[in-house]
Amino acid sequence: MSKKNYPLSDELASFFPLLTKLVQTLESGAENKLYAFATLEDLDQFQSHVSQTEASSMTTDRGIVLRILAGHRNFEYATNNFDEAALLKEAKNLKAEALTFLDAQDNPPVFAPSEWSDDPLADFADPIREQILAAGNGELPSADTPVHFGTAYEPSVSESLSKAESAQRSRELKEAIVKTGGDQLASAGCMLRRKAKSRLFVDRTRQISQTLFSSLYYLYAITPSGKTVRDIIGGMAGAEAGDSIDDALITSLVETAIKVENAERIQPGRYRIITGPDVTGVIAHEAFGHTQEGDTCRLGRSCAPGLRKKGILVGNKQASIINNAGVFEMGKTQWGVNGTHFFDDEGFIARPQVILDKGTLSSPMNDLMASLTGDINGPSARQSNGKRESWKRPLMPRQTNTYFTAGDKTLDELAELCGNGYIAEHAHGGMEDPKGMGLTAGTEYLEEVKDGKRTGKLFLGPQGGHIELSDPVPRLLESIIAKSTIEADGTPDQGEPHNKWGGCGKYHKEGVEAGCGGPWILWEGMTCG
Amino acid sequence: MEQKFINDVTNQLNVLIEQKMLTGWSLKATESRSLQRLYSSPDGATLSCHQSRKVDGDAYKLSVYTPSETDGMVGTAMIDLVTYQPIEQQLANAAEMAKGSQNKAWKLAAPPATKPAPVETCDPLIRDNPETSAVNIEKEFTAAFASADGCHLNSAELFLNYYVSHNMNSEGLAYETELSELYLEAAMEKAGQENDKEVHEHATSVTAADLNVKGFINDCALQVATLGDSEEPETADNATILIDKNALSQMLDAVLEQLNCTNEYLKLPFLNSGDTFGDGKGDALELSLDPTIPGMVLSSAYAIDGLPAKPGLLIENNEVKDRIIGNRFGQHLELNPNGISGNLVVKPGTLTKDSLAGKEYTEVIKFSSLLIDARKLTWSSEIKLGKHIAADGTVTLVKGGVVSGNLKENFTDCLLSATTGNVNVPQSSYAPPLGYKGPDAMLITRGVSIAGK
Repeated sequence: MSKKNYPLSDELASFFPLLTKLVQTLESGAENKLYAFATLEDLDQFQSHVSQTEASSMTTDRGIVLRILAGHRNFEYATNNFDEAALLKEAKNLKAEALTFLDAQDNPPVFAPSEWSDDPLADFADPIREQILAAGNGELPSADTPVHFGTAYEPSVSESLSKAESAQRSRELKEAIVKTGGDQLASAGCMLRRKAKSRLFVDRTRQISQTLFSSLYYLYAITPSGKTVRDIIGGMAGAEAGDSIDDALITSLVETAIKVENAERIQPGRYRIITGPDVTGVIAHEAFGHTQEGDTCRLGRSCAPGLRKKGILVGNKQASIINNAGVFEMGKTQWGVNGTHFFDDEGFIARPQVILDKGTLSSPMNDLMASLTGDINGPSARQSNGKRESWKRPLMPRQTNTYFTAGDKTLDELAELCGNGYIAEHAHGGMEDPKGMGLTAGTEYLEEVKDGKRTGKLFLGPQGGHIELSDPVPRLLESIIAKSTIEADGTPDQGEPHNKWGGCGKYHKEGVEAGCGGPWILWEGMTCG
Repeated sequence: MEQKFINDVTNQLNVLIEQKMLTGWSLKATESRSLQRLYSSPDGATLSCHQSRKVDGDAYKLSVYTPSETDGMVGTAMIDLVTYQPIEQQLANAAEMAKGSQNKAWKLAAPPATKPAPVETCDPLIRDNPETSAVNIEKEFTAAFASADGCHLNSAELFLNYYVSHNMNSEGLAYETELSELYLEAAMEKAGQENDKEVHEHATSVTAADLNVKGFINDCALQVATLGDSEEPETADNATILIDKNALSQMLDAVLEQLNCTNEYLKLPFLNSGDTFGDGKGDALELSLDPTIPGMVLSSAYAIDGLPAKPGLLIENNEVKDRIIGNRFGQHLELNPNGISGNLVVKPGTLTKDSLAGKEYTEVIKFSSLLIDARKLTWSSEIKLGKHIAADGTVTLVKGGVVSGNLKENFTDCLLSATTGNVNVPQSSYAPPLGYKGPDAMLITRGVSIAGK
């Protein structure tokens, strides 16, 4: 089997000349004052959800964003009307608005975009570097060479591109859960989603495009009292992302649901906890993820710049967190998750950033604006974190894939070190207070660890619901006892740690895709309620 | 919105009906406009826009229904129609996709014999001149903040959105809905000192007047004034807490899911007429839905399934009196669809500031992330900011820890405030819209645990 990179359709590629013309209209004669780009976003998504009802849907969305950066202010116009004359008129209006603003400024700063030759090619992940060089026939591309990046998928798996086969798979998976659970379940379902999300980006130094092809399998079992247990399996891949769904996984899902239905409740309090990659990832995302977002830092809304300025450690030597959009391989898994991209929504190529290194904070995760304005520590490097929910929404610095680095233990060794405590494996939301450094990460249930062994006994929260794990961030990051290797079974590490399919709603809105993960981690104690 | 495109689509859909390729269709065409401004505040007091956006968009959501080989069944599919692909091809794809999703058949809503009375859900200024409206709000904000002593502004956001939708189906139903939405957010902290706490709040409304910018800033400033040294809350298995209208409305919105007959068909937990919800010596719950209140997000002449929207009493004296019976699942369950929909309306109770005197409780000013499970009717969250009030009136600021609850228990022996307020939360990618009119506080005395010190 040989993988194929998802191509850009000719129909989408035909927008490059229009985008180029729009950028010229936005900037012409004012290149020494303004910086502009034009980007086109295209979503093509099929979803089949089978439970007591069956629902098939196609989400198709396409929009253009015109951007002018004038001084330290972004002006944008966005639409899904692709009439060239109307767009050119709006481009002229936007330019006039930006120039009027600039006229009122004293010595406004001017941004000049980097060239391909400025990019640190060696730092890029292999799939990024290879596709850049392929577009330039082995050399760096020129400003007007279209460069397309596509995620790899297995073309021989016909389900990947067949709606009928995908709907049938969804139905079969739901039926398998129902059959396994029998009358012990009230309901069950499968939601299968196949998405191709493309973006074209043009500015004065490059013409780039990407298509991110992903698959998501969301399986769930619901007990008579409404307790829901789910498995979310997905990746930046075709239907091969669902290869791990087998009879054993279905049986485990159903058995867990039955256990949860009859689970005891924990007493509210502090316990020693082992988090699985899913919950570990939420902690990474919340801990110094949101706190290290460039806008939060520059607007005085994060404690991180102050701590960094004073050189204060915020965790122990195990506390290392990376943000990296360029995750294309996770342990034995040959694909990334939905936080992966080749370039961000401002056309900046993905590269890894260590945001917390053994307790030491780095500069923030920046979009273009945050990199220019900086925080109390001054301007800092631009990163590939400029993201928006869609063309309809504003852009902000957002996380891509955020994960703890791996350690050297197996899961069995962590359980032994734990002694008595609980395992939190399945995440249930999370939130952070970047100024106050509070953190909460939810888990659907806890599994007991007794005398260094997993007992398989499950517990719910004090009132029968999910369980929130909460602590002040520095206390939490000081309490890491040990971390597992990537696979946690003694297999030598390869690729990045496992990231889980996820999403982030910044300050309760502006939802974006965001992977998060890391190894299994043993924590000295967490408040559980 | 392209009327020619809509006409072409509906003409082709009707041809497919005549050809027996479709058994029905419904279309919602929406034109939207949005003005979005994000602000920093270099001087800690005034607004400095760093991102200014204007967004125009059209959206066409189509549902198609196809004949099934099985009696009593129908194929269903939903698609986004786009103007840049051939209509015929899009409709053919939708019909093909529908064959893969077989459901029990139902009749789509037909035009009502009498048109329901229109409801005002749009601020004309937001529709016709959002720029002027934005400037007015900015001025109000700046003036209000100038009066907010001791506050340092970190950032703000302002969104003004307008939507007009044309809804139609193969039964001849056709109506228009209009909605304006405002979103104002502010982040601020104590001025003149290094802080480890920030107040980050937002206000939402349908009209500019209801946004009440001055009131919003005053509320934020009051919260800023309370900031200071805090402690983790004490661990307690049976805690008493005071929550505000925002949390209360979210909790009741979760209960509402179980009052919808959809849950019965989907084999999820549901409440039926005659069931009790909550009980005891406190204030009894009386919960209605009302779609006729002007200027609220869930007000509409029509329910979401095209039935004329009607108000209805769902819970009285803690007993379920009625349920939401929608067009589709009502027919599936052989119940009469009732069109009950709209904003949550809750009868005020007896709780006053005076009646809290002498009681020990924790007031949750702000949950970090209130996650409510509408199936289990449980909830849990970290406390972002709260106050512990001892029986002797001693107040301690609390932060952190985890508070969790069970709604069935929470509405037993509870007290609802005598004063009322509104909540108007527009739809987001995160959650559906929420409209609420009722008590602005609730004292919960049962079914709450706190994990902390």
